[in-house]
Amino acid sequence: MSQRSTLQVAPRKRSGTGALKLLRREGLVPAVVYGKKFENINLKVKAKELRDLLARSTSANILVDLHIEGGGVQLALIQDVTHNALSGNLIHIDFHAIKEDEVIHARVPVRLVGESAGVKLGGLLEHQIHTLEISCLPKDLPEAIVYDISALNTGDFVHIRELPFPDGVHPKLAGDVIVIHIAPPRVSAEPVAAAEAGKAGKGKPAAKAAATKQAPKK
Amino acid sequence: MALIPSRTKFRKSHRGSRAGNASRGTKVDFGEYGLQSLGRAWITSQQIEACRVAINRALKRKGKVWIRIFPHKPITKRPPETRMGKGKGAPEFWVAVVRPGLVLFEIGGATESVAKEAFRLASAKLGLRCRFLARDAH
Repeated sequence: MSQRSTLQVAPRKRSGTGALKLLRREGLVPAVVYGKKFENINLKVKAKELRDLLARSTSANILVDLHIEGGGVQLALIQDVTHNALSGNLIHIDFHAIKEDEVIHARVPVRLVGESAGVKLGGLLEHQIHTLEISCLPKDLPEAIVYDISALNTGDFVHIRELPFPDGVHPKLAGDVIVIHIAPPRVSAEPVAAAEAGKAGKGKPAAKAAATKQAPKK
Repeated sequence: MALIPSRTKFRKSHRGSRAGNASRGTKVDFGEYGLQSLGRAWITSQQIEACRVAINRALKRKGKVWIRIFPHKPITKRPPETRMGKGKGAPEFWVAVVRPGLVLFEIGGATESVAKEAFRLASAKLGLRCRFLARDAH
């Protein structure tokens, strides 16, 4: 199950590009919390606390108890984290306010373990869906869907219905969607062409010989 | 075969701007590893093809490659020894506009060391600094 952490946040009055740049320079990250029947609140979080929280978790699905300064505690799911594409610095974070007894939708990574028998024989592992959209109660939210591929041979498929979902977790996609495929090894074009040329080469003298044999008869 | 658009609305285009950083296509979305640009350049279709060949040779058919850029922009050139004027030159080649942060190529189904080597060879074909990127859980 997904871990549950606590985070100290404070309401933020400043908004706009310039003001938020200054905020980031002060070691804070702008954030927002929103949800069903919940009024949006602009927040600020300490960048170091947030970095530590993200570094501790193995997946993006993190349930957080937001201790809002002067606003009590709110359970939230980290909905989106925006990083700078070059420096990797945190730019913004979205929290989705949720309730313990309400079904939530989240994207969970599909993690593969082991080495497939088909891949050992030269097959190609095609991991077609890396993250799956699921619906479940917050207490059932998994960190990842782990699947052991050691038994997979060349040409085998794994559909969504074959993945080991924990109890109470339902995928949004249909069960017959392919998640993993072990493609057969691609045969090199050059050796085949060379082999064919070799066969043709062997064939030619025989044909010539036949022709020479036939010629005297005429 | 080199990449070129099959049909364009206009034959020639302005030079445009290469300022700023890439705002889209900055994450590894298809495979497990990616090659991210750290500089800005016009990457020609010939360079993209050279990279594709280098990556496929390094992978030895044990992986899948995604090319995340496409040369949409026609570049014109004036014939040598021509006087100024007489209009814009003829389209000569096609380029992809690359800004810092853009993921150029992706590899799936290969080990990290093989992917790193393939991208090292591919980045040598490009006139810009690049870095190796792995799929991020966050």
